[in-house]
Amino acid sequence: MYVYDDFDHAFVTARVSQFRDQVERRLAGDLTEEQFRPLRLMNGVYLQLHAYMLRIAIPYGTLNATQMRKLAHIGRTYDRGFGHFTTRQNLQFNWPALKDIPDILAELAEVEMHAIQTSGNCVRNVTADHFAGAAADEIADPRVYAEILRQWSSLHPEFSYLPRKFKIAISGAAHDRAAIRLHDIGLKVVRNGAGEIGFEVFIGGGMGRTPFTAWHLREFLAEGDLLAYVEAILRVYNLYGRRDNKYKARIKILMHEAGLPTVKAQVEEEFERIRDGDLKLSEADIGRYKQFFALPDLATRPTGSAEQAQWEKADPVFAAWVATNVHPHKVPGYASVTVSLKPIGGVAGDATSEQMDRVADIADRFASSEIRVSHQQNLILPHVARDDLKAVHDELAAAGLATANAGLVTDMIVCPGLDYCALANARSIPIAQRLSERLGAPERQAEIGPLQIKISGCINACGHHHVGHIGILGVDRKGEEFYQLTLGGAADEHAAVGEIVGPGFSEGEIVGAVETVIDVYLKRRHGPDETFIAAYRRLGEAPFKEALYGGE
Amino acid sequence: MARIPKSSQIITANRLIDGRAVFFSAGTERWAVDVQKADVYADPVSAEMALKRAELDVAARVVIDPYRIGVTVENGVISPSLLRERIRAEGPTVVGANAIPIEAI
Repeated sequence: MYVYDDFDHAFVTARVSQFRDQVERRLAGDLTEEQFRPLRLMNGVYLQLHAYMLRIAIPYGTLNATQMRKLAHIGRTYDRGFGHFTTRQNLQFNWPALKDIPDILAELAEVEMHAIQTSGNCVRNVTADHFAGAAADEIADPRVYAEILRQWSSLHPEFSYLPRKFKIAISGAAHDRAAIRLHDIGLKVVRNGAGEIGFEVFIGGGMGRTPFTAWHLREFLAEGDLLAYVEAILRVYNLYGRRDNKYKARIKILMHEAGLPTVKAQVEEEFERIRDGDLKLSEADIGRYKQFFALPDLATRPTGSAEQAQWEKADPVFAAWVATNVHPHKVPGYASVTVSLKPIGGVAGDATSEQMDRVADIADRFASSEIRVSHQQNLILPHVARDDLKAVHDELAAAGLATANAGLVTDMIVCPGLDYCALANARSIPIAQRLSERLGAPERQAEIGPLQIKISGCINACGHHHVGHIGILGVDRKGEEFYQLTLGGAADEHAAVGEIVGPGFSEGEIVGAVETVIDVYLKRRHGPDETFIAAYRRLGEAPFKEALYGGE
Repeated sequence: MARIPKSSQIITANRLIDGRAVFFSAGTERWAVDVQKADVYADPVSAEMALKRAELDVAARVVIDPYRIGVTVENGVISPSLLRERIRAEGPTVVGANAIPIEAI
């Protein structure tokens, strides 16, 4: 992974000192809340319902065991012993005191972490495929480019006050595990006819109150032109993005209002002007970053693992976990493991300090000390020998981290909702907990198969409800929580915004409504091989609507 | 901020130093994490006057952004009317391992 140089250390340390001074001035009364608010937000500090919330950047979801232990320590020392992993592959602490945050940031700096640009109208944490650097189907490691973009965008003077926040995601494979079509810029690593690496570029995807899947901006962008092209996009957006209405300020609205041909012409014109300037990436530049993300030294192993096969026969719990939570690796004899942060009835994305420590220990012993955070709010051990899968499973199980549900119905994305968030209109977590309890029996989940439920507690869509196969949006109706159901959304290469199926459901009704939808699917599918989303695309919403609202 | 409630009211804010949701009383504690320690104002005029006093604590760097919320009081137990405010007062409603109740500190 990337290693800080002297400049980076000095930069982050200076930033901690600066924020320490700002906090001291706030507490001394030299800064009003109005003056302090933008300063704290620039350092990831929000004020939520119960307390401040600190959002810590985990660049493209990659961290090592030492960093994970530091997060565990911070949770234990300054918070309430747990943290919350987010869809931006970051970590949030829900209860830090403002007076302690400079110390927390100083501790983070010791392990090359910070909270810069986790809020504000700037380029946020660039996200990437959580199997980056490991996936069997990968063309190139997207983290190389994510890191280059991070360095370029960190405190970029021209792009620190954009019309609105700006999110970039990169997929290293054709199968999109990074939801790139729901990002302001989505980059897909591709090879052209000559075998050269480059990017297919998508623009203007996003969720929130006006969801769009992205427009296709460019078929092939050469690797060396990455920064110049992204800078051209940002420059056009910065000039023409709306600043009169924050709800219309994202680049998706510019795309919608100005149209792809206009924006594309502007971007290409600016790109031509700057493409051979300072931002041109040489092979040497890219090679230097590739070294940071080189595969760890993995001992040669046979492709199949007799050990794994034997335990799959002997232990059905292990076999079920392998079926869902183990992903093919590019190196024979290895696999990537999804560490589920979705225990049945638990809080999606939460991990206790003890669990973080345990994952760090397992990563040290079995996974080259590497850990990833997925945008689906799970953790990943990217490089595990198949011979070690049983040991890893058992260690995870002892920590409550081996739920065999990756990609299944209880592997939900869930925003913090009204239990924590100052913006929320309705609760998300308790709904998810009840759904998880209702649907969580292993045989029930196996019967349902792959199905993504995503829940947001307000229209800002942090829980990605628009792209859930089943999406749930919490709203406030005259002081009561109500939940709208959307069906048919998808976040992958077949990205789609789900359709609202009909009137909303009360808090008491919503779990039953979801189960009704699932039962219609089970009855109407062509067989277990037809997934929920495939069946929905074939059937349309009519049978689901009929079952939900039939007699009305 | 929130609409002005017509019911009985209390004053709430977030504490500057740690962001905690706190509730106003004229007593020595002044800002308590425990909503049951809040002063309840039966009419809008007295709530408005209390809010003016509470706002002095913004300049004094004790709290951020005080505002009034509606409550019901039954058998001496104060309960905010809006779910959002009940959750602020009583803590997250999530169940399980991380459901740590708001303790009075």
